Amino acid sequence: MELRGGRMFKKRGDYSYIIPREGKMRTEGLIFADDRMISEVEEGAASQVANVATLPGIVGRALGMPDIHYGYGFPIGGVAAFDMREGIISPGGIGYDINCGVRLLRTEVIADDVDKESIKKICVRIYNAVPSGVGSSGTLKLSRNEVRKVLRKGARWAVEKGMGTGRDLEYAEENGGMEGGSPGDVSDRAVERGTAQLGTLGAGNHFIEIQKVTNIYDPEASAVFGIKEGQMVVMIHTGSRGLGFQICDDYLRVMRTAVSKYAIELTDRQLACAPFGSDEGRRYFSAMKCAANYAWANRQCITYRIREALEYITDSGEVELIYDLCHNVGKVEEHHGRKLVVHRKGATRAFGPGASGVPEKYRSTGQPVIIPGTMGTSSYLMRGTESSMTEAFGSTCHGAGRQWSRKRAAGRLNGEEVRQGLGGRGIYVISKRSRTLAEESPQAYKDVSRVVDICRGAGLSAPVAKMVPLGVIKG
Amino acid sequence: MKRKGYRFLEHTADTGLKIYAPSREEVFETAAKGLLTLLTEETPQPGEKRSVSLTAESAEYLLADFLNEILYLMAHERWGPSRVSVDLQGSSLRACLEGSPLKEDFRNEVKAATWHRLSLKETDGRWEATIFFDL
Repeated sequence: MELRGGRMFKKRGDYSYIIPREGKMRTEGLIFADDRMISEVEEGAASQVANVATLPGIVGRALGMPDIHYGYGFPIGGVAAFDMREGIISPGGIGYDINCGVRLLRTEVIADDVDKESIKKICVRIYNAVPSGVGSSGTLKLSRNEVRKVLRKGARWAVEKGMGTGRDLEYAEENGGMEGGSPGDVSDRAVERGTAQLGTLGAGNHFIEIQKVTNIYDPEASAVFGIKEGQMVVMIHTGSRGLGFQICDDYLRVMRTAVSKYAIELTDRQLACAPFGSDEGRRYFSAMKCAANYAWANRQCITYRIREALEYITDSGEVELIYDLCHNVGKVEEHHGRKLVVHRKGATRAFGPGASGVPEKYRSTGQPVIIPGTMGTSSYLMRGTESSMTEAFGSTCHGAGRQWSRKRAAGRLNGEEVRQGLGGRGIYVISKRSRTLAEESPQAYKDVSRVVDICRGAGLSAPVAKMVPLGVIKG
Repeated sequence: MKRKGYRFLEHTADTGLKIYAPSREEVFETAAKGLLTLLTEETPQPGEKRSVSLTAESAEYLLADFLNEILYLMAHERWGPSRVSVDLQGSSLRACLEGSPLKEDFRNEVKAATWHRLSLKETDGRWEATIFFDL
């Protein structure tokens, strides 16, 4: 046993530490980290892993990914799987921004062939076409009935409106839409919040980045993913906007009643949940799917705008989707021969080679895993592994993970200086608010390269390529 | 010591509010002002009236639910309160709000008021509450 960051851990290997079972824990916790990273894990985050381990019907261990940090109820970077009969579903284990996720597009453009002024022009065009900022609303105004169609269809809704192709659906997790979401389980208020926000980026850590592929680590997989060194790619990071926040809030209220009804003992009330098979659990899962579908439609609408903005530098106009994935979601998946309710909050699905649910083209490599860095740092394209399936229910990290609060970052850094600093390194940044740049500056986050290295070492995902930003659009 | 007010609390990913006031009702009213400050630099003007009615299992949950109602008005309807008057009866709340539309961009995207470390208690004749927001 070792005392690290104020908590006792049992070292399991070079890249994982066990939180031993104690008190009401039904199973052990496990955090994927190296010697240095485990010392930096906040005690609150490790306690949250232990709290998740107390929930009914948990299968295997409660997991923390290498980018784990202190959240509400579940930690950010938390993964937990539950039995379909004995287990629960918890909105707090998925998060407010349901299907917050990342999408990576590849162009046929060589980044060095595009001058800085053109990068700036592209960023400005995207910034003008994709509304960003807090509570941003879009140019698309939908009726409530139309929103309900989006909730059923996901990205397919946008493709049917001419904002994408069938190929876009093929290369999105769940083909850009989960089956079984019923808009009848979504409140009028949540639907109302969805009427004006489709095709909008939002604020905080959401972004669109124009990136250049600088390193290829796995030539075979990168050939399958269709990327090569020097290529220009575009990354989108956003989710289900106010509609998703509202569904999470609505169902947390439902769950707090369900907790008494089903006599579920909680160590933290933010873990409010209901048995997966209960009426409350079923309705939440249905509404969650609707929010996830809205998020896929949102990223699809944004993709359409980005393709338009890129038209003047892409002669062929070919901007193809490499992959689109969620990092805040609940799924029914088969692991170790049984169906489980897998919660991923700030964690990415990382299915390995041969796994079903991965596009045919990627079956040999494993699912593409997109790890966004922080503004001004590298992002990574990885692939799912066999060991991720056995070790972590096919999961890996989702990004860098915060280490400074927004207040601390804004107190120490000046947004304009951050912008100038990035500009000095050849990165053009356009943002609605200068304070966002201070709050989201690289110093406020853990080093994404270290997180990726631990994922590689722990066998959760394998690096394929590294990208650096050329232009950043922030809310 | 000031009789009522609030201060912001740090959290790795988000932000919180510590509120203090002579009465429970004033804690709710002061918390609404804190939330307004978290979202916007704008000062809404009295004029348009709104009302909020809620019931919950506890006063703590009532505080979180109340702030989520205000958040909805601000984030979706882009309307901010300048005056807030709260009446608490057991597990029920009735609030009269007066305010005006918000025009400027918000400074933070607040997803929700959470139950993380949520507390509302009286100590030596003073009411104190802690609430964290997901940003």
